[in-house]
Amino acid sequence: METTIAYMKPKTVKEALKFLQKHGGNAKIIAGGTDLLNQIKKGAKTPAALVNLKDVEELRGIAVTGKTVTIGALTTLFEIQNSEILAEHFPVLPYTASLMASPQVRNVATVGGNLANAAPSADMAPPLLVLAAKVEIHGPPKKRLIPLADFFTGPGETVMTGENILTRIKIPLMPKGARCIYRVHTLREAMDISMVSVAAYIKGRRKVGKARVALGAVAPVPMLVPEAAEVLEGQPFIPERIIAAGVEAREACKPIDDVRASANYRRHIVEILTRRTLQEIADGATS
Amino acid sequence: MTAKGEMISITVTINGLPYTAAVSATMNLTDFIREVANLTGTNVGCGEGECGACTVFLDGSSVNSCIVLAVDADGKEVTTIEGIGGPNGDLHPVQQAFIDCGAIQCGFCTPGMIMQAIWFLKQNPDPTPEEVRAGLEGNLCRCTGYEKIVDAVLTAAQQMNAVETSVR
Amino acid sequence: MTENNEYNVIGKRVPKVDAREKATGAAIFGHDLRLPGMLEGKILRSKRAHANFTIDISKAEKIPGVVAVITAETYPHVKNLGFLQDNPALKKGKVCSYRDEIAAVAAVNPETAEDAINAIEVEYEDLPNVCDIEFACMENAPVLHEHAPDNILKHRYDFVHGDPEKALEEADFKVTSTYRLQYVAHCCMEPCFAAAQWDGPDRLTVYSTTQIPHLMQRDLGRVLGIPAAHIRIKQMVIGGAFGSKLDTYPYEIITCLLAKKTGRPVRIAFDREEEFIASVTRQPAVITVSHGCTKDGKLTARIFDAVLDNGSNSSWGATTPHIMANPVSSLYKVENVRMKAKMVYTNNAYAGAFRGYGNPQATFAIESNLDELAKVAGIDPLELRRRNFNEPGETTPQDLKITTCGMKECTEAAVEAIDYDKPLEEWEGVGFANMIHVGGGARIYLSDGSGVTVKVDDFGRVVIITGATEIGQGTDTAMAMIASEELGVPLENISILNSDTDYGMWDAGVHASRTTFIVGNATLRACRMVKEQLIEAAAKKMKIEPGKVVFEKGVFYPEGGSPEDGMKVDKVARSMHFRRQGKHPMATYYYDPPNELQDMKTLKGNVSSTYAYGTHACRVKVDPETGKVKILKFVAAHDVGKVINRQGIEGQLHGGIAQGIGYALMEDMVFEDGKLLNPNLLDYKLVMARDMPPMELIFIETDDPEGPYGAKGIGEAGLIPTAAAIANAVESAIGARIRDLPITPEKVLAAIRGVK
Ligand SMILES: Cc1cc2nc3c(=O)[nH]c(=O)nc-3n(C[C@H](O)[C@H](O)[C@H](O)COP(=O)(O)OP(=O)(O)OC[C@H]3O[C@@H](n4cnc5c(N)ncnc54)[C@H](O)[C@@H]3O)c2cc1C
Ligand code: FES
Ligand code: FES
Repeated sequence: METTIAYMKPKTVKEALKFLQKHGGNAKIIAGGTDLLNQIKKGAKTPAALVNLKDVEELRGIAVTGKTVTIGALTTLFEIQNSEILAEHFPVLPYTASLMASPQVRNVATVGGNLANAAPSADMAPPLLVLAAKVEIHGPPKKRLIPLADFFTGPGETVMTGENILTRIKIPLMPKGARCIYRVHTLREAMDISMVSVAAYIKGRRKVGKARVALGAVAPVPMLVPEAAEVLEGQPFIPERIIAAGVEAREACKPIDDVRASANYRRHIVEILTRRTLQEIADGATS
Repeated sequence: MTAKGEMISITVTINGLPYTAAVSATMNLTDFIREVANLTGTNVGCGEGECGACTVFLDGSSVNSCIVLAVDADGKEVTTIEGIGGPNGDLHPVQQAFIDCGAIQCGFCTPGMIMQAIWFLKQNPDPTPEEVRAGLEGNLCRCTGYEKIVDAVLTAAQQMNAVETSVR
Repeated sequence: MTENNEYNVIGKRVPKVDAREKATGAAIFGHDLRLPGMLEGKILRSKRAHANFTIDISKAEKIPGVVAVITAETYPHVKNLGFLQDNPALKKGKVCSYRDEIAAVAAVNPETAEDAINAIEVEYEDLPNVCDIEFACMENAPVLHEHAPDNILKHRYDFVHGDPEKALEEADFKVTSTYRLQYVAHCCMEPCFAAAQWDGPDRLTVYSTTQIPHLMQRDLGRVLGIPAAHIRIKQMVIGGAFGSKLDTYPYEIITCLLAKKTGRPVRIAFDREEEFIASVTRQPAVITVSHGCTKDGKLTARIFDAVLDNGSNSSWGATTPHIMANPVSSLYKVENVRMKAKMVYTNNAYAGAFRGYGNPQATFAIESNLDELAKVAGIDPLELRRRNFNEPGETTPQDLKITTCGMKECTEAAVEAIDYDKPLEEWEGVGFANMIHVGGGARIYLSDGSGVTVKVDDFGRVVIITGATEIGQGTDTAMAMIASEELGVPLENISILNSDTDYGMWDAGVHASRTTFIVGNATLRACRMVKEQLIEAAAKKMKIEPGKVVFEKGVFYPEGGSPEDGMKVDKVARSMHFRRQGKHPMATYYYDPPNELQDMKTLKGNVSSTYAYGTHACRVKVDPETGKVKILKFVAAHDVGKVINRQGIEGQLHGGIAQGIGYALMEDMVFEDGKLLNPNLLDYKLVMARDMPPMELIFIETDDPEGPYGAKGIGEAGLIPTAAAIANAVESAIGARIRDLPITPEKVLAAIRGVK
């Protein structure tokens, strides 16, 4: 009658993969545990085994190689918040981390866990989406690097199986003249899950070269809105275009009613927040 | 059926003393502190990382002990509210400031608040009131409206900085 | 801020006497209690809002480590709980809400108890849900309880003074609106806890976080069918209460029953989710208010009609209209007043007492409506209030006798501090609201009394023995300050002995902002009696008349002499009993204030011996595109009679304002068909440090003749006018009125669009 959850603490990715394989996908990876422990407690998840990644040193750290910044999946939100490399290349990421949860949670929660948990409101997702980040996945069928945009498949669902590990996040360095910021709409000033969030990436000052807009908490997955980018690209960066992008974002989002907000309200906020976020970039904001 | 984790023997050093026990892999650190080490100053207000009442230091960083696995503290140092004062009942300046400034009402949030405040002041020894509020954004208090808690943290910062300067 | 020099201790800032143990983690809260052999109790609750059920506990009983499983059948003679005694601790065959207790287990540890709960098999036969008060009142609506075939509770509140209908009819200006108040949770940071231990068949000790130790003793005796004289309540350090622990609840009875059945100590400790689902709430209500006034803004009529969602069973929430009647009848001078309230059974959660006891709801409706009236009448809201202020010496329509009244002073001070007349920027608003609340106890039982014993020992230590309850509000410290003031003994030489019905004297409980007022008076008088004894002894020792003894700063000396030659308290104390037929210096005073039990039919009578007034004012800025409200500044001016502990009273007000802001802007228990959708602290939003606006507190000291040193009770006042002040400020900012709490960005946005 009693079920026992096996526990293992591998030292390498290889070892971890072996454990996962042994349990045929019924094992759960635990990184910071800030999402998973509550899910287990509430009976939402009942894994056969826990594979604790904490000792897998190769999954830690932030480094620049060539034109790419690599963030280990096990990097904590606190480390992201305080990373000099990120402050230099992608100030939006430390800023985003600083908005999330609380200091105590940030000290243990990992960026990999945030993405792998695949909450529609996962705050790390929208900025990484607009930065064109890729995620490295180990395990069957094979090691691969896929765009983050292809990673999420539904609330709590990703392309990964129970035998996969998200190992690294790779972000191409931003070209000169590109800026990226992230904004959230919450009720409380702190410790609040976003009702709506918007990340935007714009290259170009007067005229928009490349644009990307992503939304959080308003669809089954964090989503890019190519329609919003389209109305901006190749156009002067002016209020008319920015307003049009907001409207596109509103059309594209697919929010639901829940205890945090109604779908209608979310749709409205998507428009407002997209417009404001873009306007802030136009006005010179950088994180 | 509630699933239990495999039993694993761990040793956690809490406030300088080692505690060894075989625990379930799913046991959280709060339970280890409260039930194994029998240190009851660490409170549980939610068990879900939302209130901060269970805040302790794990190898020096503040964490919600309710959402950290006990096995993750194996071989590590934990500091709880019982471990921050000096010998002979001396209080940490943050504890003293909480008392003096009236930052305590029912006191249930207090141990977690004080732990978080101490950690925060290590990161930011000379904060503005706004920074203090942000530093305590993971700690709920239902009694005080936070005003006197913020006062207490600022007061403690001043005192700790004054001591620091006089030592130099 | 000026400190008062009239006294040595009173009016100063004094750290709480229990602060150190709370700062070091030494305080023993419920979940810290360790009793040898203690078992873990757990309750199986309904998975339906409304259903008949059958239950099979056989599988659960067989789990190793399970010591007992009980249902309603186990102890059939246990009586019902609740204000109307409509609430069996364990439900039999039918559930009326998700919080309903079906069975309970005691096991060797929490995990086994949880397994046993999951192994209990329940079959439900669904009944139609009644989760809406309008539906519940319809003819042919499904009936929840046989004793209430129309789903309406038997007792009603009906108050009338003058001819309000006629006055409204004849008023020059009038307005009628309906306001909706949501369910909110107390969210004490410590979830509910109880432990029980029997010594033989009818001697019971309960470890509790109750606010009403003596009434709990009585309740337990009645419900369990044992003499209350055999029951001892020991209170733990209490991690917040705010009224939630003012009743005796099913889980407490169940704890006792499990302990009885197992013959071992048993504890039940809620987790946060259970706390949300199964502890009481603030009373939700739909309130329709009408006001009428003359051309010059003189209020002539007020009609107040409240329908309360009573939930599935009765607790104190069902009696909140009793206190709503105070502001309805007596906030400002209104000649013709009617109040009606009815309580409707539904399959929702049931409410208990919560700081303010109905008053925040009533004040929200009244003060919102007055602003609406001002708008209709074309009079500035402040001017309208000024023309109708309460005054000292007034007897209100409810026969409340107003002795001291700082309403005018509070209002003027608050509007000045908020800079009421300063021109507003776009989307900025300013608003305020007033309050009246019981400030000198509240006689809602036969007794509103409390006994205090003060003892002075040979070493000059003063021990205060009391039945009063410290829930964080600081009454222990107030008592110590009073003793220090009266007996000249330093605070560190004073102990408070409370939390045990075996030695604490009767106290009606910590409610109605009564403790500092009532227990303060008892302490003050007991101290003065001890002082008399000491003066008499000192006089004997010095061989002078008692009238010639000077007592100053803890030293007795002869008139004209100097303190250096005097005797200290300890020496005098020893001189009293280190001899034949000696006497120990100690005295007991039982204080029961001069207030009246109201006639339940007319609701008239002077329920409190004095009344507290206060004004909250704030300035807000609204984001017109998102509807988000930001409070730029918050001012609270309160008639506190007299400040006893400046630090303590500030803390009470700060905390009250925080709860009031939460009530106004974000706290909301969201129910769907009786099921709570947000039982956690991420989705049920309490304000956090960053949400608090800059606050300014103003104390108006009206020196109440009955209060200790002139003090009034203000424990609840801090949140009573808060939501109304914020709603009025939001209206001022957006030009539209929001009548439903909480004022969420979504509602604000809808209101702005409605205006456009
Ligand atoms: C109080 C509180 C507040 C929060 N506030 C926010 C917030 O503001 N914004 C926000 O976005 N989130 C928030 N969260 C959610 C959570 O903290 C974050 O999602 C966090 O980043 C998760 O990381 P973790 O390491 O703790 O994940 P874990 O709990 O360890 O794992 C989460 C999931 O991901 C899987 N997983 C983890 N790592 C990997 C990997 N490398 N490869 C494959 N699978 C993996 C796990 O199996 C699990 O299913 C909050 C949580 C709490 C408790
Ligand atoms: S108990 Fe750990 S955060 Fe609330
Ligand atoms: S003092 Fe009671 S919760 Fe903070």
